[in-house]
Amino acid sequence: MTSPATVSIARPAREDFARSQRVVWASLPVSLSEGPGEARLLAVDGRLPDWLDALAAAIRAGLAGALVVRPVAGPSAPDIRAVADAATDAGTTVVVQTAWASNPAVPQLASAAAKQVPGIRLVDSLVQVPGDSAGQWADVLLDHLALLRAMSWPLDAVHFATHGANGYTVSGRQQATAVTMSAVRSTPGQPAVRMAAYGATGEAHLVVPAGDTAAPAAAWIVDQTAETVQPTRYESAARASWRRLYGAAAERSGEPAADLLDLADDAECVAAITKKRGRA
Amino acid sequence: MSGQLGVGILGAGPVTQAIHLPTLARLPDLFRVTAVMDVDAQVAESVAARAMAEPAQSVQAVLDNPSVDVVAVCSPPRFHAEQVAAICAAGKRGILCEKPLAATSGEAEEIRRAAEAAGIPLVVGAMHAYDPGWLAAFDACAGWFDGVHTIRSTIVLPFNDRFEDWATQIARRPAPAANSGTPSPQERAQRIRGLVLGLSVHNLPLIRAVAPTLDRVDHAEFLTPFGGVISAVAAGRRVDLVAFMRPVWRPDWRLEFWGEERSLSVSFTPSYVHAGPASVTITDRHGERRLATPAHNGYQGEWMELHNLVSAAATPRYPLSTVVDDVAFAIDVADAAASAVLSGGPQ
Repeated sequence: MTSPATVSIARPAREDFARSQRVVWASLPVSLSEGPGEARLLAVDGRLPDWLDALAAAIRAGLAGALVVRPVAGPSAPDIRAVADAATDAGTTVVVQTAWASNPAVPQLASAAAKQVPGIRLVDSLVQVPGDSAGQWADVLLDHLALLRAMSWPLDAVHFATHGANGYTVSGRQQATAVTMSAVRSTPGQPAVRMAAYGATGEAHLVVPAGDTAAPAAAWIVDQTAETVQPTRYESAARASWRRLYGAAAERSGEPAADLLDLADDAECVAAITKKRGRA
Repeated sequence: MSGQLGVGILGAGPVTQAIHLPTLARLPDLFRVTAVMDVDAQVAESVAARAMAEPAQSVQAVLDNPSVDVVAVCSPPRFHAEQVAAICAAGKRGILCEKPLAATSGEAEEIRRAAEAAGIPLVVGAMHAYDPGWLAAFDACAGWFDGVHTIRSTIVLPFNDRFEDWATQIARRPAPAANSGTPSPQERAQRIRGLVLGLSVHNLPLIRAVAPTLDRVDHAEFLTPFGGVISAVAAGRRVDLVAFMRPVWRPDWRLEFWGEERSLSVSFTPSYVHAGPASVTITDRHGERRLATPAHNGYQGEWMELHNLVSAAATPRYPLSTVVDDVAFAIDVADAAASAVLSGGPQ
């Protein structure tokens, strides 16, 4: 894919979603173009409850790739896996953009943490959601789990979960590491996510700002002698996701539907957690 | 506030050496250390010499010392009730008792009765409760706390010796407790109880000021080498306590409250170091606001409160009934967390 890939919006889509995608495409003019002709890459509005149907239709249409933007919880894990299988069979690359895992600071920090923070004992994370947009905690939890997975700390056991009108608390494990996940209904302007991984001799920190702009996340590693700030990346999660889709679709490298399989695992985890007690 | 008071100290371990002696040195117009007691004669001699005070090896020797007006109880909590009773019987003028005030709610009640009967003011060494940052936050948020729905305490620290060594030169550091391999469930339960009463206890009186009663502990987990996560509900609010000590230098000590249209974050300095007050940030739809606070720390605040109570007969900021209820709250959390560790389920 050396010339611009033609892009389009899967229908149905909200008007503001279409506008937001065009803003991103405008920042990748050499790679992406909404010109005439058949689209090779498609944006799927994940905030719509039937996003999985829209994706399945795009795969059946034989597109090279699709970006699922901010999928909401709802579709079951088996249904997501079935669509992933269809994508694999069709050779359609699917990238899933989630709220925080798709921030370009995340893979950078994950790589640094894997090398510099051995023996992690505790991963502690807090999500703050402005009060006027709170309420869909399953959707927040899905994004939260995706972030843990992107940092290579996917939750593999849940010991405790509680959720209510004002947020949730989940305690679990990733192998020998204790993992806490909290979300709270908050005030506007606060960072969306704060995450820290504490090891025996070092730690990794991530603070992702609220909003969908290119405001950079703060990421840093602490070791026995210093605190090292990771390079800031003034690129939105949306732009980084489109770059990733463009590259993956061009190279057709790796599992074309790995993101979807991860999403299916996270959806399964959301379903298990939200079935647990709902006090507090 | 007038008149220098003589201070006798019971127990001359790292808390006395790194916290109280440097703090009292900052308040020379208010206090002079006149007696230091420790069961270890060498420690008593060494620490007393730093303050040009009389060394002692018995409580009675301190109580018999006429230059002692007020007494700081810095011994292990199991001795507090007996020692406070003795101080009251000796007719001393005031007491600063380290936290936790007592090992049991019953002993805390004994302390209250003894102090009230003798009419002696008592201040608990809960430095965060006297931190000017917290006090400013409490005033600024009065009326808003009713709408708080979520509280979170995060305490991530290196081990104490890092900070003790910046506050003083420790005369003799107690040997660390031996840890033998993987702790049993009973040991984990005991350790999370120790975590609550030794570390989380700093923030619990502040939490109780907003959420006065413990409803339940839903989940608790002990983390090695020393830490834990506790999820509880107090007065209908969700309360998450995260604590972890490890040999990495970076401290993070935060207490956060979220409520209707506002959130409050109080960031404390580590224990032992005399690094000023907590920083306080209030966030609402208009933006973030950092509160300006007096430059002193909570340790000075404790001692200034005691001097006010003794010399000016001021009304205590925290009445005895409050500090007794604070102990009961902390013990309730500790016991429920220990049970949760043992049962692996809700309490």
